[in-house]
Amino acid sequence: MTIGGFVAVAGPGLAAASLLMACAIVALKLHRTLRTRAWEHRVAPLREAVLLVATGEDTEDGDTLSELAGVRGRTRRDLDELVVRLLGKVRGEAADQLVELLRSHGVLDRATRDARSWSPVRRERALHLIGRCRDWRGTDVAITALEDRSPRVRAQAARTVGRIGDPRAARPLLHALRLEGIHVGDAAEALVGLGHASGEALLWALAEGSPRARTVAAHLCGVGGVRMAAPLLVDLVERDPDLTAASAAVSALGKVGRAQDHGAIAAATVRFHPQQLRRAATEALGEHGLALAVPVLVRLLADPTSQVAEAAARSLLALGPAGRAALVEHAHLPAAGAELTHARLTGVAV
Amino acid sequence: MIRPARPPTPERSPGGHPARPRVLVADDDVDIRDLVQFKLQQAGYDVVCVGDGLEAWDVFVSDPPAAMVLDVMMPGLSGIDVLLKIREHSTVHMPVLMLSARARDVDVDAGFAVGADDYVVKPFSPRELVHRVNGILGRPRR
Amino acid sequence: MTWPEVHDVGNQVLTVFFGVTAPVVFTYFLLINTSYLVLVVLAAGGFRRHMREKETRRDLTAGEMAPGVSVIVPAYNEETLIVTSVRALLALRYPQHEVVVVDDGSTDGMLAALVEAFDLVPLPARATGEIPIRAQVTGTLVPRNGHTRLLVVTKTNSGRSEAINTGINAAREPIIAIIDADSILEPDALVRVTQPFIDDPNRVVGAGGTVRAVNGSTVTAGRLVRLQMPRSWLARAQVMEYLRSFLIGRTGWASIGTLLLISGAFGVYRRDVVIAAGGLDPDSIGEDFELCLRVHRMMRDAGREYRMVFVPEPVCWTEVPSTIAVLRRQRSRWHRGLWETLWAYRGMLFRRRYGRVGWLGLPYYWAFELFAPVLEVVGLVVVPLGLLFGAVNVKYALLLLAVSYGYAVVVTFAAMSVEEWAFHRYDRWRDLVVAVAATVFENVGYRQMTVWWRLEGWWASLRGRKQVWGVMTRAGFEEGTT
Repeated sequence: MTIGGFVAVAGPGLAAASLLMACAIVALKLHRTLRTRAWEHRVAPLREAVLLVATGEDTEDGDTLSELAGVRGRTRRDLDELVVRLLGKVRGEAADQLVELLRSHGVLDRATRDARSWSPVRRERALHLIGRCRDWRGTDVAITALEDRSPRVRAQAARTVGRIGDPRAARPLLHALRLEGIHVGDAAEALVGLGHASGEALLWALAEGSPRARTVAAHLCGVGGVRMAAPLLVDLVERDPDLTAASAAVSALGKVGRAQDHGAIAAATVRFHPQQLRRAATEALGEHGLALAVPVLVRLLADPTSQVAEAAARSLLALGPAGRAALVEHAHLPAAGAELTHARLTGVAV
Repeated sequence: MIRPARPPTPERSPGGHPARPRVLVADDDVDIRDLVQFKLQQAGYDVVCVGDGLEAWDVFVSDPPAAMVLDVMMPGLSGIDVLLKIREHSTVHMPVLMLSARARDVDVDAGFAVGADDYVVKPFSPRELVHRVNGILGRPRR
Repeated sequence: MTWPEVHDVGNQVLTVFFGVTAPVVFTYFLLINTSYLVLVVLAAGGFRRHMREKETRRDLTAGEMAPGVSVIVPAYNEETLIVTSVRALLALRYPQHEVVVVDDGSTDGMLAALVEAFDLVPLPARATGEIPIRAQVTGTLVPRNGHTRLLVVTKTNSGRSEAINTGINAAREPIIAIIDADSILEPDALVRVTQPFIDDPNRVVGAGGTVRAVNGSTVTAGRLVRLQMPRSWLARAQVMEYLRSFLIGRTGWASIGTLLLISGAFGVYRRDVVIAAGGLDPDSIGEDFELCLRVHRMMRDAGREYRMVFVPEPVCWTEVPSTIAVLRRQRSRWHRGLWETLWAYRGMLFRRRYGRVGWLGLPYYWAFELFAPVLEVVGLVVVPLGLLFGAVNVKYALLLLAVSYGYAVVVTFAAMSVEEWAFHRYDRWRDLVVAVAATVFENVGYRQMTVWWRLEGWWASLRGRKQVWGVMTRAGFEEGTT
């Protein structure tokens, strides 16, 4: 093609593309505004009935509920959309009523089917819905989805099992943390939701899990007071190649460690370790609460790493009279002096 | 609870009939607004709804309600900001209930620290909310 | 020489020159605009993921494993806004955060204002911290109540980078967030930018937050209350520029794991990683870019698995320059920083160890960020000259125009539609219309101005380098805290 030909094509082409884009922007905005408006218009007549159910003001016999259950066609889809939205906002009896309504419309059955759909978007949505409804019948589907091909579906599955709260999910969830996708924060929250029943799974993860699973498990063992985990935590502190996991383990050990674990914690404060681990270990000594830690912490007060020195001062303060006495004795050290002043400001007697 | 010397909303309307106490609901989520409004109306309250903190403050200034239900995270002024302003500028005690998705202890603490009378976490139970609103208004439970 | 003679010589010279450069310039524009388009597509994917996640995750509550954050605010002569700013920062929603204000030897009443507002009392000397500071740290103050988590560190004046390093030294939490004193943060900003650290604690070392222009909007008590398009065209063009190159560009890069620049206006790092890297380089002009590259190099050298992420949700709002003079200084400095940093890290180019950073990210920055103004100038100067001397075919000039700026307008529009689709922060129709107009202005008018300024910056650096070669300290702080 000649240059002239190019120009003849490129000029108008680009102009058209610009125009198209500009139109697309306007259309997007218009579509959003109009769609929302149209939808609201369609659900307006149902709104009061839904609110009646959602606020638990329905009659004893559930008249409104059965009336809504009988809605058909497009209105039913709109209704379901509204109900799903409300479901995230209420709890208790009101939520149960809404779930009942969705069930009677077959929405949950469909979600269970969709959770095996070929489309990752559908699988994700379905799992989300199952989670919202806390539908225990979806447990198996959700557990399977923890190993889904798509990272996003796996991430959603983790949230879903957390909401359903079936303790069977604890171990598969921790196991799935080896894969990309599942967020450590979500997993932690889910496992907290599963409660004490997940203790055994936590121990398994400490021993055999991936670095991320070990991190979560260590953290939760500490927070949840899983004392049985102490030996495994010592192992992580001493040997874990993953720094974050080792630090989480030493923090947890401060909370649930036995007297004999003092050595392991103190050893992690030694200077050749990375700062993250040393700081966590120094704090753990204060949390652990043994007077044995006083001389170790006093040495750390003069540490060149400021956060370690300051953590040592805080830990000494936490260690009761012996620790406080040591802190006052070493008040000439910057970390100790600053911490003492701070303690006096907050009203701690030293 | 300290009752205001003169109630912000007259307990009796001019005609002498007992008036429904007016509650202001501020939340940027229309569904929450509807749910709360509906439930409180059923429970015998007049309800005014607004969508953000600035509007809530305006209503408070121009025509103070008997009580307020404030969301924490709203565009403009947050519920915490509104409450701070109310406690700063007003001599009478306005009963305020925070309705928030922030469920952590620190968040609840923060709510009470700025002077909330009660704190309800979302997702919430509509029935419980009515009891709590009754509570902050010192009304007998239904 | 008469005009016809001049014309002839000009014609011949330009014909030769144009014959050589034309294909280069043409290809260059085609490539740069196409690369932007690719970034827009990548970013769209990133946004989509982000939005779905936001929808399906329960409300962000920073969760079970939220790490403590130290918000570091370097400040120099900010008397008028520091108190409001610190109040807003202290009020950010986060379970555990402290605010560290570093007074970089202010000469106004800033410190007094802080002391009065927060009832500060001095702490005895604290531990010095790990990053060496040339300036003298003169004191540390805390609120008398002992509970408000504010720390004010005073030091002699030595510039923004050292102020930040002082703040990092003083910080007591494992995560640091570096922000400017005049930045306006969303109440949820910390929750959002620390989310990656919670979600993947073993690997995430740094996160960048989206910075967007706040000019023309309503701000009350350090909070953005109502977002509007700015009134000046200069600022409007920057809104579109921030959108295209920062939001879209960085989301795109981050989605393929090659985020090379975390903005100094709002960057979040793991404190231990920054300390291991040695803190910000006080001699660097592009200190945020430099730090980011240094962390990349350090992690790759150590063979550690790590991630730098970008949070596309708007979290930080900043006043962009509204006068030509200030904008010119800013751009000139940015480009100078870009050049000096790229040059200093040239050793990372095309080395296997540096993976995508060395093979994709850095070469891209060299080709399309650093050399961009040079090639644009060739187009801008030579083509009109060529037309004048009849050395350039009118059709060819039009084609070049289409490929350069026409295409760029289309790309910016694409970026805008992606933003509108994902975040739609501007809710007034008027703002949308203004944005459409600003898109055109950004590419035709504004962009050409920045080309000159960027060249100025580069030139200043090349010249400066020769003059002060071997001298360790360069006067890089003439900007104060702009």
